[in-house]
Amino acid sequence: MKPPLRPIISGAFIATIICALAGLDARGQQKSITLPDDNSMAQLKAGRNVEVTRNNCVSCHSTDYIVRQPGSDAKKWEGEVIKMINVYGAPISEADAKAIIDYLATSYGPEPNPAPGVVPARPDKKNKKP
Amino acid sequence: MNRATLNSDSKIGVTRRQFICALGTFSCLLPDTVFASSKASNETDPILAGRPLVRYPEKTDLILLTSRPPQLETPKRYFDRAITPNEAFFVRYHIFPIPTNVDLATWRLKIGGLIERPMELSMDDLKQKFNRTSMVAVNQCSGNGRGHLTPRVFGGQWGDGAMGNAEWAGARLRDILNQAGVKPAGAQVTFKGLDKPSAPTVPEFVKSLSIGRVLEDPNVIVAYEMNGQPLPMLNGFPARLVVPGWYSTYWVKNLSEIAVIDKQFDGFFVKTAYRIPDTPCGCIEPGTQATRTVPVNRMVVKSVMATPANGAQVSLGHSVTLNGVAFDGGYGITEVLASTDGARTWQSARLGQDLGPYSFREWSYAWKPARAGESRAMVRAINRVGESQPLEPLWNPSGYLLNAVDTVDLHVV
Repeated sequence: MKPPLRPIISGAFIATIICALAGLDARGQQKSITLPDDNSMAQLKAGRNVEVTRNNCVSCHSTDYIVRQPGSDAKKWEGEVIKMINVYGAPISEADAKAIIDYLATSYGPEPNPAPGVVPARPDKKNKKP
Repeated sequence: MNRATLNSDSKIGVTRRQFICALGTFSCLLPDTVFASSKASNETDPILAGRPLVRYPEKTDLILLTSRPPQLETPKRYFDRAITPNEAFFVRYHIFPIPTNVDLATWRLKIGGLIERPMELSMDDLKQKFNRTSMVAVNQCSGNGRGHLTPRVFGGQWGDGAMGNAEWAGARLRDILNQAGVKPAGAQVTFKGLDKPSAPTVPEFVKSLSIGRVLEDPNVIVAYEMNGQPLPMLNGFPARLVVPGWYSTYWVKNLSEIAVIDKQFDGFFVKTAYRIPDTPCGCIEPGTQATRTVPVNRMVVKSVMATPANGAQVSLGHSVTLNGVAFDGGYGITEVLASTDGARTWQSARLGQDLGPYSFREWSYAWKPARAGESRAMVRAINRVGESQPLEPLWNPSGYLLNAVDTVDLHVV
């Protein structure tokens, strides 16, 4: 049986104005842009250890790098935090790292059932042609 | 076709022009709308649900993946035609800060390392000292489509929009290096841009190519034009590397330094990141780790259906055109197949103009639905050497090379 088609609900809501400016002089010899602020709609969820997470992470990147990730268990999140420390040199103390992993595994834990945002399964296996 | 429209419900009580003029720094010579109001995109890809549309400098409304460093995705409807407009072209940076101010009076492209005659090329030098060449080529993130992979993996959760096709014009890299004179010990060439790490411990974004590839391939260019215009800042002003047929990780933007070295480059973004399992498909069992890896390289065959959108209603007994683009890593697309019955049967789609082997190829298929209810439409491309696309995604730990056939669910009423 084909999986049910999901209703597509689009919500339109106006949030903060993002000010994006670009300047170019008359001969195209100099180009100057101004980047908007971090996405204010990608805030970390409230939860135990959210502040220590925010304090450690946002100095290098916006929070949407975190909130867009698939929900995962502590082991997977630990891998990411260790990568931040070992590869990117993030100055995260051992105690803070534990707290961050705890926060992520709790607030961005694995999804038990596919959420509405997950792509439906591919077509029936029996129709696998050509 | 109705493109992205700016929401004019400005929250502030002053017109755009007044605001721009009030700044002083920029004279009122900006014809483009530079304001954006943030609203949720109405993309029908579930992975994009709730993501805001934002208008960055020199860009139209794009789907925001991340702000800092920025990653902006092109709405899928732009893939109904071969050329992606500059303002709709996706954006991806790895480290921050990114360049926001470049003055051609002082910008120089440094050519150094194991060469006879080190050079510092200005834009005038690039344009006048080297023949100008151009080609149409697809620029696609290695992780395009990662948001659709199951089981899911960490990384940029793109829909299908981390790609675009443009005509690139510039100087051949091999012409530049031949003029500089590569020393016999030269083995690889490294490319660095103006983006900088936020701390000394963060790796610089530097990529490399083999000297053989660079000296033999006339299509690897230092591009200073994109669809006939100077590059948008966010797509690499004033010059970027163009490596047709290969994933865009190599297409280093806002170029500043090219250096010839005598060994295998071992920077993070080559040695550790951007690697795929060393298997024929670049894939492994979901959830496992690869024992051996190679750097990401040539693009695999891929196609998308831009219209109708997922979830659209189509009329029973009336012809509707399915259309989109197909491409591969440089052999060229020879056939595109469309299905409207969930992969039970496939029909040949019509191909659009051939803009070269590295370009998007438009395809279209006229379908007259004969049965009311739900229909699953799909598209699949085949290239000159018979490579095609799987029905199910091929998994690897980083979510690279994803090219399962695109699927669009339609309601026939």
